[in-house]
Formats: sequence, structure tokens, C-alpha cells
Amino acid sequence: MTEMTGAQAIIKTLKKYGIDTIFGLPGVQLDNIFDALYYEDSIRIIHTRHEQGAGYMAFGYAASTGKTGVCLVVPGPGLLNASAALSTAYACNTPVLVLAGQIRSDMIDKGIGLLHEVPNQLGMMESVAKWTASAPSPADAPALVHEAFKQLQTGRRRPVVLEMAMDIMGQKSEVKIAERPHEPERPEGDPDLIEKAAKILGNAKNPMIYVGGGAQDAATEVRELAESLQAPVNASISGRGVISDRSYLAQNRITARELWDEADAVLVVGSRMTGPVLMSNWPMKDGRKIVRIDIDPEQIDRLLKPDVGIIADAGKCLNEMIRRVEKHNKPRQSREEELLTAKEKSLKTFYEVQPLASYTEVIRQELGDDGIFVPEMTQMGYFSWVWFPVYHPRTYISCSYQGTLGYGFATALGVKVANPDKQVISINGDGGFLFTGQELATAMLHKINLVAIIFRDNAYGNVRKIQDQSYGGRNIAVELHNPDFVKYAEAFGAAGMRAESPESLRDAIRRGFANDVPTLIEVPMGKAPDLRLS
Amino acid sequence: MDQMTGGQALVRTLKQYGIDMIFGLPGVQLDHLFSALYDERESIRFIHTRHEQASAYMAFGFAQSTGRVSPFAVVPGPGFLNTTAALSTAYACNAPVLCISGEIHASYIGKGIGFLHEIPDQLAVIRGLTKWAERINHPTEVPGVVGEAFKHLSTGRIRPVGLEVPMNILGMKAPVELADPVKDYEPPGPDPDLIDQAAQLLGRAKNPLIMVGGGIVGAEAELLELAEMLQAPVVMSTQAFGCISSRHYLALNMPAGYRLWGDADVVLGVGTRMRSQLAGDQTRVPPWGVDEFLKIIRMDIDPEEINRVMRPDVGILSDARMGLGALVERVPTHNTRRASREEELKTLKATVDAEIGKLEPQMSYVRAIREVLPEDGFFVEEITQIGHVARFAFPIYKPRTYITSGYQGTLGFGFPTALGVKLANPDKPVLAVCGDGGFMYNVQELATAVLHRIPLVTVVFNDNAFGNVKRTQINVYEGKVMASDLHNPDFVRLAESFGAAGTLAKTPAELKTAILKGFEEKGPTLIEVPVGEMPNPWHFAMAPPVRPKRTSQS
Repeated sequence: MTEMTGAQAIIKTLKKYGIDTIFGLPGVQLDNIFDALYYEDSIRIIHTRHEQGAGYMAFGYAASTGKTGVCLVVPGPGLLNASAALSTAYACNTPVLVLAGQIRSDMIDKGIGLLHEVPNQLGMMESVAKWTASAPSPADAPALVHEAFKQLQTGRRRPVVLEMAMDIMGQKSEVKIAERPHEPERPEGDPDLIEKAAKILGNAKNPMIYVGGGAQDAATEVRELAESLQAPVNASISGRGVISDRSYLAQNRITARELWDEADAVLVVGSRMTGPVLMSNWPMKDGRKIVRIDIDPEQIDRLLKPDVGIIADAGKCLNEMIRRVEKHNKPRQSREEELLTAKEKSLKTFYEVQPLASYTEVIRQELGDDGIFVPEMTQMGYFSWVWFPVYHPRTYISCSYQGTLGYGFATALGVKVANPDKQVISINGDGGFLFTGQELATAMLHKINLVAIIFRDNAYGNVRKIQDQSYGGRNIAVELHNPDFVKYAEAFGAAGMRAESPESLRDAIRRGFANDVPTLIEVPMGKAPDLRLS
Repeated sequence: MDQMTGGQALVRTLKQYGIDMIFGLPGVQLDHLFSALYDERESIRFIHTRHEQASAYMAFGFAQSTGRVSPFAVVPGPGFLNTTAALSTAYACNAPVLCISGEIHASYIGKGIGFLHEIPDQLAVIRGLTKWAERINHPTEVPGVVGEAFKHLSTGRIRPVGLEVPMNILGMKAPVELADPVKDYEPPGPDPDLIDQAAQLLGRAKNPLIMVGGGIVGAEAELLELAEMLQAPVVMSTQAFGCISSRHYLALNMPAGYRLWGDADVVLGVGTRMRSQLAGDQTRVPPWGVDEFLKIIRMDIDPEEINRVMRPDVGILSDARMGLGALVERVPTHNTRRASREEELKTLKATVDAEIGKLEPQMSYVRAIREVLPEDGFFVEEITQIGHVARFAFPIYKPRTYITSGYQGTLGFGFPTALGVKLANPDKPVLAVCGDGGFMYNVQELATAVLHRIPLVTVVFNDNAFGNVKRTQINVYEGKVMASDLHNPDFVRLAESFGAAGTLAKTPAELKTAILKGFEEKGPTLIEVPVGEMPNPWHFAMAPPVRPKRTSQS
């Protein structure tokens, strides 16, 4: 037992989990925790210009590494400002730990109206987090931090919120910092079910695999199983990168749609299946067997009822399945030629979508195979869902179903902080970029040399497209005035460039990667063509 | 009955209630709402912003500066969540803001499938930040539910209200009967017995004191009449600034009121939480204090507020105008003959102002701004050093012309709130003061200001720091400065990159010139004032208790 403040109790327990970066903003309720952080050389503090930026950076840090991203904010408006980032992390099953301040403990819920007081702060957080708690004393803090990490490590990974009142943060007390407990074993799955699944897949004539975000840590296993089954693999947006697009087995949404029709067994790993089942209405077929692996028992038969549903960690379950499939597997010929031809053929569609296809090619070539790409809610971003090749897990950081306009730039900053040696490219529309445009100051201060591209069409382009196509061109609230983004970047001391063709974009990206400051590249765009996403 | 979509029913009902401006951002769940807004574009101006937070702050500024209901419309999930800090600000400031949030298709709500912009139980979050919120389940419900929303926005303690409308309901057609809007609600008047008790206490008081908060707005004439007949100084919270002109000898700021607190024998609090006096602060600054020699009368529209911290001697649940009107009639029966306190109070004000006046450089800038901001101009403060000092040093002459974030203390609220104030008051000059920290929260709205030609003048006092935090780290935490130094853009070039006017002002005199020039512009102006570390002003706001008194009054 050592005497320490509540703030120190939190920070010292965080250190047991190897936390080396915290994104946040200071404020009166957090004075003690920032003071505690002052003494911790092993933790880097990235302070941002808006709490949303701290939230998105923690999200980007976590989504690109699988490690926990930590975000530290004052109560009330500070925490609320981070809530859209939390809803994004929630949708993306990303382990983000929010440490939130709270008003003085003896005044909570009295409604007096103190600085940053909101009624039932944690109650509201239940809509964006899987677990919330308030630490009532310094002595209770370590156990609650341990519990927070347990929540982050088990089941479906989603954000958690731990709050501590300002006086408890400053209060000194005897505290025992327990060692980090063993990481909870993730379930392997019922062996009988795995056996059943292996039989179905091994005996299938045309097995197919569909992967979602839940497979991001099971890339090796997915590839091995797919190879032994010669099963084509299609990935949801969150599952991009689980199978390298360099593999002939990796099929895009267009080619997968055709393969789906002939599939007699489908293995779904860590996916909600909203794309095929709800959005694209891929037809169901009598006799087709469905096997699902999911860590979330609620998810497993929500949209597509499986013949075999296995509640398990994807990697562990697939490992066992690989072993068992060997016993049941048919002799299979390589489908390499057939599948490559299908992909090759689909590229014709890709090249028709100009100039998006050419810009995509340039970005992909310059990024390098292990570079990380952060799309946005913009035409180029939607196009990338299907057409941007991804070669490694966790190198395509989307916002999944949350569709959070403006998440991209700040998220990409967090990605770059977590992966300083990798190349990171953020693409944005003019609409989305300005949502977190202030964080260019953060990038400058903390030397986060991200390359961000803004495809500028001076509109909320997707809304305009819908108004044009479905509402008779009755445009309202879609035309935008923008800054000159080159001058905007320069005002911050960052590098600003304009590129008006794919080749000039290539040049700008190269210069951006060589820069010792963040780079903003503006690319003027006209109205986007049909994106050919299905 | 006309066939119309839910979106049309909503827009037409809002129009019936006199709504002529809506803030927001479009998105797929709101397509049918925007289609309906397109049809009404001649009578309802739609201001689209670059971040949902700004839509809500603009609605807040519109509502605070006019007292009128101000709606904003946003997509569900992240769109709505982006407005939550602004909603919490409107909640703290008792502002009639109407949040209209989209929602996923009604048949999928609560299923957890994960549709675009879906979050679990969005309505619970809306309810947490408003006084009342409801989902509209069918186009035919629109007139009734909107009517209910306006009832809540017009009665009791005014606070934001929320409506959630699933996307398919906005698009669904049905025969809808638009009802005549109910606009006039009879506010609750006071219990006459309590008024008589209060009038007796006040009439016989030797040193009566009146404390007023945001609830006073609308009762200015009655307040002045009562204060004059009692010769009672009126101590105004920032929310009440302007209810009596700062030029009046009875109009006091908090530091002046503090000096009278110890000698007051009867205090009348109207529409105020009296936090500093009764509850204190969470940083362990105790309240000014009470004792047996002080009688407290409170008048409030919110029954919870009256007894929240302690039971007053007389607690009157009433609309402020009606309650004060009744007191004005009743007090003369009991009132002592009173000599004018003009000279005494003028001296007090001068003494306090002289002490505050020593705060430099803050006061030179405060004076410079007040000199060039016309009497009916609006001043929007921020969480920044000049804003903190303005709270007890900025003279205000008209109600609703001093806009704050109340107890929410929302860093970053100022600039977009001021844009909303300017849109609501196009003929009056509006000035916002920000720090570099706060301004950047909503820097993107410079684009909105240029697009919609909003000629707001914004002053950024740039100390390259979260200055208040930094000062605390230096003074209280032994100079352990961390996470409070900032890198900033060149604000002049930043403004110019948006096509806005950007100016650098290095002295109060240069600032005056720049502001006056800004007021002449057709679009927005950003003025950067470089500043260094400034002296601590908080001792004026957080002073030690003066009661209970050690010796009794005779």
C-alpha cells in the first residue's frame, strides 16, 4: 500500500497495461490527473484543440493497432464533445478507454448547476459505450481500471467510460496497485460445432468466406483456411485487409456477388452481414449452408440464421477449424486462374469511374503495401470501400456503419501517432475535413506528419447527388463555401499543395511523405460519377 | 385534410409557430425534411453549417438573444451527438432551443442491427439534455407533438426540448390536420399570502438586497420599480445583465454585491440559483454564507430551484413579471420611508470598479470594446481571460445583449453562438471575444459566415495557450506546465484563406479601429490580438464567506 491521489491510482494502473499515449484536453476537473501525468515520462500526452479530436485520435490509435486507445476529457461538454467519436468506436468494435472528469462528488446529481455539470452523465454514455463506471475513491480506482480493461479485452470490443470526481482525483489515500491480471482467455468455440462446421465446409463444392471487422486479428487463419478450401473471400468494409487483395482468393463486392450465387456453403467470420443481406439483397438459396463465427452471441443469428453458429474468438476458432477441415476436405484444384480472371474482368468497371480510379491507383501505389489508408464520408471514400486494394489487416480504417462525417482527419492523426514509421494517408471531402480542421494545429505542435488529401467539390456532394437524382434537383443546404485549403494549411505552418491531376497528386504525395511538417493536398473535383459499388 | 409527408407536416407546423430560421446539416435520414424545407424556402431561411455543433450553438445564440424558440435539425447518431455540448449549454442557460433529430427507419429502432448513424437508445440521450423529448411515430402525430414541444418551450423553466423523427416517418404521406398553434400560455402567478409575507419582510427591511438571474428577463420594468421603492441594490448574474442598465446606481455586479451581502437583512432572489451565495463552488470556495440575521425570499418559476440548497424564509413559485408586479403593489403598504442610496451606491460602484480597473491588460481591452460597441450591440463572451473579466466589468445597458454559456462554461461556444445572435439581429452590431483555445473549436464556421454573409466581428485574444489551465499549473501546481501550450495558425492569414477580413490589433486603440472597421463589413471579420499571460481575476468572483457574522446586529 502506498499513499497516492485518486489520479495517481488511475495512471499507475494504466501503466500496468503498457499505456504509452493519452489523447486529451486539460481543465479544472482534471488538474490533478494532469499533475500526475507530469511525472510519468513513459506516457506521451497529445493535447488536442477539441475533445472530438482526442476521441477520434484514440479511436485511430486503437483501430490501427488493436491496442487500447485512451482519451481524457473534462465532464459535461468535454465528454459530450467526444461522443460522436465514441459512437464511431462503438460501431467499429474498437477498444477505446475514456477517462472522464466529474464534478465534486458530494454535489453530483443535486442539480445545483456547477461548471460542466450535466444530469446523469454516465447514463448518457451508455448509448456509446459497453461499460461505464464511476470511481468512488482512490482505493477503488485500480480495480475499476482492471475491470475496464477486462471489458475492453473480452467479448465484442467496444468503448468503456470511467469517470472520477475532481475531489477524488485529488484525494490522498492508501492504495494498492495490483498487478495486471492474466488476459482473459477468449473462447475457442464449442468443438462439436466446429466439427459440424468443418464437415459442411470440407464437403462443400463451392465454399465461400465472408469476413468482417471481427476477423481483423485472424488474417493468417482466414488465409490458411481459404487456401485449403480454395474458397474465395469477400470482406465487409470493416473486414478490409483481413485477406490481402494481392491474393487471388480475395474477391471484391462485384465478383463476390457472382460467386455468392454458386456458393453452397458460406462461412461468415465476425460480420453483421448487413451488406449482403440488407443493403445489397444478395439472394438466399435453398440448401446453402451457413456457418457463422462471432464473439457476440446477440449477433450470431440477427440477420442471417446460421446452420452452425459458433460463439468464439475468430482466430482461435479458425485454428481449430483448419485442423478439422483437413479431415473432411475434398480434394480441390486451385481456383487461381478462374478467380484472377474474374477480378481482372471487374477492373474494367473500376477504370470506367474516372477520375476516381486514377486517383485511387496513384494513392495506392504511393502509400506502399503496409501504409495505412483512412477514408472519409466522401465520394473517393465510398469508392474505396470496394475499389481500394488493401494488403494488410488494420491498414484500412473506416468508420463502419456509423458513417461519421468528419471522423477521418483526426482519426488519421491518431493512426500516425500509433504508427510513426508507417506512411499514413487520410482522404477527405471538403465537408468532412473541416469537422476537425482545427487539429492541423495539433499536428503541427506534436509533429504528426500526416499526409491528408482534400477532394473538394464545394458541396455536401452526396446529399447534392441525392437531391439531384431523387428530388428533382431541388438543391438546398448543399452548396459550400470553402477556404483556399493551400492557404489554410500555410496559415498553420503546414505544407499546402494543390494537385489537379493524378500525376500531380503523385508528386504532391511524394513531397508530403518527405516533409517534416504535416501536409494538406487540395484536389478540385467536379460532380462525382456513379461509383459502381455493386 | 391535406395529404402530406411527415416532413411537410413538420415544416408547416413550425411555420405556424412563427419559425422563420432553422439551423442544421442535411443527410440521408433528413432528405424528406429538406425537400419540405425547399418548398418553404421563401418563408423559412435555412442556415447550413460545417459541423452540427455549430447548428446547435447558432440556435442557442438566436434563442438567447431574442427569447424566441430556435430549432436546429440534424441527422441521428454522430450528427445529433455533435450537438450535445451545445444542448448542455442551452440547458444551463434556460434557452428555448428545439432539437430536431433524425432517426433510423422506425421498424429497426432498438434492434441493434447497425444501420447508418444508429446508436442505442438515442432518445434517452436527447432526454438527458432536454426538459422534454418525444419521438414522432406518424405524420398525423406531428401537429400534436410539435404543439406539446412548444408548450414546454413556452412554460415553466425554459430549457431545450427534443423531437426525434425516423426517416420513413418524414417521407410517409398521410392526411394531416394542421391545428391552430397555441402561443399564449398564462404563466403561474404568485400566492398572494406569500407575496404579503414577502412584502412585509422587504418593506420593513433596513438593508434589502435583490439578487437576479436569467429568470428576470421580461420583468425589467417591475424589477426597477420595486428596487427603486425599496432603494434596494440589484445584483445581477451574467444571465441577468442588462435587466437594469449598468448606468443605474442600483445596478450592481457580483463583486459590489458581495460587499453588501454581509449587511443585508432581507434578500430577494428572483430567477436565480444563488449558487455563489448559498452553495459555493466545487473547487471548495465556500458560499458567501447565511445566518439568523438574514431573511431570504426566493421567487422562481422552477419549484425545485426554490428549496434546492436550503429552504428560504419565503419561497414564491411564480413567473417573475407577475410576482414582482404583485410585490410592487403590496410593498408600499409595509414600506419604510427610505432616503435615496444613490450617492452611497455610486461610491461603492466607483470603488469596486477602480479595483477591477487595475486588472491589466484585461481592463483596457474591455473598455476599448465597450466604447465602440453601441448600447444596443450584443457582446458574446467566451471561456477566456477577457471574457472572465467581462463578467464583472463589462457595462450592459439592455436585456439579452450579454450572451454567456452560463454555468456550463463551454469552451468553444462563443463564435458560432455569436453567428446565431447576428443572424437573429441583423440590424445590430454583434461582437464575440474568444481565446485562441476556444475559437478553434468552431473555426470551420468562418466558411458558414462567408457563405451566408454574416457580418460578425470576432476578436481572438491569442496567448498561445489554454491560458486558464496554464495559470493554474503555474500558480497551484508549482509551475508544472503540461498540455496547455498551443501552436496556432496565423489568424489573419487563416481568416483570409476563408475570404473573411483578417486584422491584427496590438493595442486597445488598434482594436477599437479594427472593430469599427469590422462593423462596416458585409461579411465576417476576425481580429487577432496577441497577448501574454494575464493576472488572475478570480478573486473577484471567488471571495471568502462573509456570513455567519461574528457579532449580532442590533
